[in-house]
Amino acid sequence: MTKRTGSCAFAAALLFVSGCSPAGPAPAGDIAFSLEPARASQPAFVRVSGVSSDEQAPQSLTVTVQGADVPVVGRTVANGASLEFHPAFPFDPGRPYVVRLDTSRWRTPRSPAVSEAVVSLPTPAETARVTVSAIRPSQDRWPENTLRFYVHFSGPMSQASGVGKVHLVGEDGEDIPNALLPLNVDLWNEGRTRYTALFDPARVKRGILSNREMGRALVSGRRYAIVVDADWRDASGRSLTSAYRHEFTAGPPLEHALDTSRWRVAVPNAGTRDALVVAFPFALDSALLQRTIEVASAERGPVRGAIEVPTDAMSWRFVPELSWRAGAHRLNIASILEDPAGNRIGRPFEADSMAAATTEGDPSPVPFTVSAGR
Amino acid sequence: MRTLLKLALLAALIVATSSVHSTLGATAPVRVGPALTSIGPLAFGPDGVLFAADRQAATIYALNLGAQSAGARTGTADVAGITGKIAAMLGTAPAEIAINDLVVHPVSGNSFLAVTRGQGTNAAPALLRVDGAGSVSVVSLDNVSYTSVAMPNPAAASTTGRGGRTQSVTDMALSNGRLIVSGLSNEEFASKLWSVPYPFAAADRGASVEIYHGNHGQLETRSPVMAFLPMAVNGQPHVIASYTCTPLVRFPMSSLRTGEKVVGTTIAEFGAGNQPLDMIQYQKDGQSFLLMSNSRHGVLKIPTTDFGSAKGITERVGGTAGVPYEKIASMTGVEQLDKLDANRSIVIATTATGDRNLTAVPLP
Repeated sequence: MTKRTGSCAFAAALLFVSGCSPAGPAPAGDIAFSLEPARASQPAFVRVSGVSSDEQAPQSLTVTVQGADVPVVGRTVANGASLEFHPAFPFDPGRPYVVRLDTSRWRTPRSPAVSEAVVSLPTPAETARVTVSAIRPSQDRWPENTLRFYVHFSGPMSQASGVGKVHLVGEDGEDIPNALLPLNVDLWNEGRTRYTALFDPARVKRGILSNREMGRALVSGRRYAIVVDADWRDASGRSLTSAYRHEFTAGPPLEHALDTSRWRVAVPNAGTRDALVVAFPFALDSALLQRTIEVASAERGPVRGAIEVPTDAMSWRFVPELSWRAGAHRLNIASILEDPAGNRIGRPFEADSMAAATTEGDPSPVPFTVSAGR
Repeated sequence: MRTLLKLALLAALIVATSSVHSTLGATAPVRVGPALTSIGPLAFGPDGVLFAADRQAATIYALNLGAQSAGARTGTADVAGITGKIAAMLGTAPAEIAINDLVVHPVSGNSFLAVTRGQGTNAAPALLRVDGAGSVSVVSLDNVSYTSVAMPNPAAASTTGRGGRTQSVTDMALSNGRLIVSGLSNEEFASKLWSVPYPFAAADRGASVEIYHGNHGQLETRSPVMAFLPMAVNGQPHVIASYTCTPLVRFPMSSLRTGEKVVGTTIAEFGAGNQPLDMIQYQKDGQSFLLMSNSRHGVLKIPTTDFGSAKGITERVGGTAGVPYEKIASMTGVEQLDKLDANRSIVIATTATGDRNLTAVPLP
């Protein structure tokens, strides 16, 4: 085996060249492997230089993940005195790839006939480790028919689901089995910093087999914890800095429709940019509050502004871009606004089928008037 | 899986849904080289068009695979350690590979796999094909012609936008000229079945109906659908669906009208802690069966004979009531399932050592 250091322009990897060949061929010494770094419009690719134009048989070049026995799919092209291998998918940073050039079928095989090099892109600089930043609802009291909660992270996570990573733990410290829905569908937000976990609706909904056999996972009056395992991988493949625990007590179920007549609207005066504050009797879904309520002026239509949802999701604040103008306004509310138990305006999650409306249209707006002030 | 059989059933379903279908109008423009940002689930149309859901882009693509519809040999041969093989081909490690769906081409019998390569910020979609020689190939989308349709966004306040909402597609099937799509939101507990005419129409974004589960006493709840199958029941086109809360329900296809309330009738219950994965229908010994894979309850074989006559399960019925079913003990670890031919299914299943094998399995 011949061993040497090659010209891997972008890799920290050692290069090995080895092989065997029949007597008399041209020396392989002028063949060099390099991993060309990614540029704006082009991912990283492997270059084999020192190959004369009549020798550029693309099929003589293979690239494999080190330890694998199936070549990486890609496209090999001749470019001047080089062969280039462009992978179908970008090379992973830090992963070693074996580049192998077999000249044995060339008109003038090199000596040795087979050259190999191990190349890799540099491992990216360490970024801050990700941690669980919050669990919503943030309350220490959750209704026993809670359907959904959110796990917030300080940075992007991997695409893996939370199945097996998020647990409901009882007062004895033991996992409560079959509490959460083992969903393998992607329930991340777009930045993968928020994961949606669902309690198994088969236990939440009254009358379904699992509910009859096991009851709800949460029983009013008992203490629980949501525990997030530390070995959940972030987007760079590393585990979380630590496990996370959110303790709470289960409370009575919320089984009534949301009633906007129980909302308290604190209306600022015209001429100010003070916040409009809507207070709810129960916490609503913290995510849905970000996008389901709109402020509109009776005369001028939607009012632009910034929405703030406090961590307890017990209220909703709206700061207009421009000062309030006196006159009639309303809150337009999308029908999908829910509390964490799935109750919507005018329709509880578990609705009496005899009394329920046949469809779920948008709820009536909530009117309010901005006064001229003093 | 999802669909070979769904599509074979279409001929039986051509009756009652014409009132559901709205305008055709101008068809969506045909383009070349779809730039998917994510892939899966998949579903084949009877003519070999491949429907691919792109969740991140909230778009459904209809791909014309052309010559890539078939490899060198028809059918699908077993591939041991398929995750490792795919990982090597895509230049990464097995842990970076997620197989999102498996469907069998209705003509070539080759299997097509929707794969996510990379589980971090570098995640990329890939479509692969397994042929009758067990040869695994990456399907290049560069020259594939396609049409597409955007999935509807739920109502949101105009000043606030979409926020962090995403929509996962749980299943798709083409039935009587409409593509039916079930999904799950990461925010609201939505349970909408969305259907859109195919060929996609430029001006028709389809229609959604909210699906309810209404069999426990007088209570009814929204119930997201995890897997479904168009199926003729008593000669009428129906949807057999599995909710996230595991009941197997039926509702008539004709009920999928915009704005109408659709309440599924429960015909079986399977218990908690479970995720329904795939369903196929097949015939054996002159009888029709549903084969249903689950995350916890394994693979269940359910005769469909009683689907039409089964009374809705009520609150008073105890145990795993409803239509009879049989757990197929020999089929374990099944993560993906589709029908390969009249006598075999194709599955991707985990092994005791953590590998995943693609295997043809006789229909039980």
